[in-house]
Amino acid sequence: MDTIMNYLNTMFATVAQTEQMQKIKNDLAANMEDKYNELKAEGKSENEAVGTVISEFGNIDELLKDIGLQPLRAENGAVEPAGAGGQTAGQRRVTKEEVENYLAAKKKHNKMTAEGVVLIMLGVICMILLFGIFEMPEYNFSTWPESIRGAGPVILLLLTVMGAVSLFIISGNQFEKYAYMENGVSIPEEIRQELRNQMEQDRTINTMAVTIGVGLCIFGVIVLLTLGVMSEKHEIMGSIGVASLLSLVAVACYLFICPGGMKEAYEKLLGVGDFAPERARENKIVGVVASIVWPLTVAAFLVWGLAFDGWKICWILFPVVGICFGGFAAACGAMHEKR
Amino acid sequence: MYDNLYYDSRSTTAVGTTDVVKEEDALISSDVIRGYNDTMILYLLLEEPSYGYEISKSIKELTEEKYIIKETTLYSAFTRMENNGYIQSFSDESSGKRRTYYRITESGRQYYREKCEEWNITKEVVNRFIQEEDE
Repeated sequence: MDTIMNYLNTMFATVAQTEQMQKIKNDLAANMEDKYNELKAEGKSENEAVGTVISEFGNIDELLKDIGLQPLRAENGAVEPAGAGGQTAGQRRVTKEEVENYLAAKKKHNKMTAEGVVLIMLGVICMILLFGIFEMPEYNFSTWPESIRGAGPVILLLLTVMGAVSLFIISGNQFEKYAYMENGVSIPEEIRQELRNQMEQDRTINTMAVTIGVGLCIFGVIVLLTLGVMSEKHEIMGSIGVASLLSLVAVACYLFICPGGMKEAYEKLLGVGDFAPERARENKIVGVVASIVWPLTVAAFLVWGLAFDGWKICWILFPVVGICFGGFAAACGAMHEKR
Repeated sequence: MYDNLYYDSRSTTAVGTTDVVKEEDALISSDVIRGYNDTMILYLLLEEPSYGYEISKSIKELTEEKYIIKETTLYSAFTRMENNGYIQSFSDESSGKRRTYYRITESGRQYYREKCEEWNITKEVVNRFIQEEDE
């Protein structure tokens, strides 16, 4: 019987460890035990009994596929589910436990991502401030070797980027096993209803967070402009202005990512809003373009900064590309809607 | 009489037992039989409720070992039929062991009758194209 249990455990080792799976495993184990006991009672040897039970086990993938689909009228397993492009056909059914685990994991992932972004922005802010401070005649930094004055802040920036990237990688790894939930799963109606309710409840918080975030950004621009006027007298004000704008933007980012991320999670689960199947194709195009544009932007930023020593200004690439890309994404959406 | 066994063509065996039958020896195409797994199970539930192993044993005996249903196939069938409302499961410990039993529902009986009729028509249609073996 141990051999049989080992076999069963091996078969189930590669599937999601949920309550539902555990129940299936237990039921199968009970049946196999019955069969084993009766074979032994009939006089079969240990080897024969175990061998028979295992060889009559079947195919675990088929079983998962059969119960992962929506119940179909046709019982013939060879029949394809109706509408290969349909929303609910051919998708994995998930349990309440899986949904709750996914939401908790997503929340954590969002937080870590937001922290990473804030960390990078801190690095940029420090870098800009340091450059500004080094230029100030009052502090007489020109006695420091130029290599330190040039490279030091950049090194600081790269350190924060390293830290943030580690955060992203760790967070991504932890979240990976839940990624399947975002690729279209079929959720029982009661849970869908609960999700919708929660989404509604979170809606006020979301709106508030977005409003505050946008407010902070606008305020940041005002500060920048004000200080920019003052920078005619003290050059450092220019850097302080940029630094304040970026810090406010950092806070806004945190606000956008955390609650906004949860809203996105609900939408992905329910398959609504931006994640409705109709928009999947459009999202794919935008995704492909994004994966080309953004690395190019980062490369351009680094080249401009390193080769042309433009660190003070080259950060402007990001907002500019961001706005253009946003426009492109919106245009894609409008085009698709026209169809 | 035949004494080779039918195996579900997509089964996997981790332990290579010496009596595993290769697919060429299988008498019944898995596609055909798969369409009637539910029917067989419902037939066995017509008289009284039953549980997993008892059903697979009955199938093996009734078919004189020409068809041995796999554990996973059986489980899929139970789950699917319960979702469709053809059977109901309940827990029972009266036999000493705690088991999941299944009973057929009215909807299940209706479905069974439909499948019987479907088979009769299928049989009649296909028979027209089958050459009788010379007795």
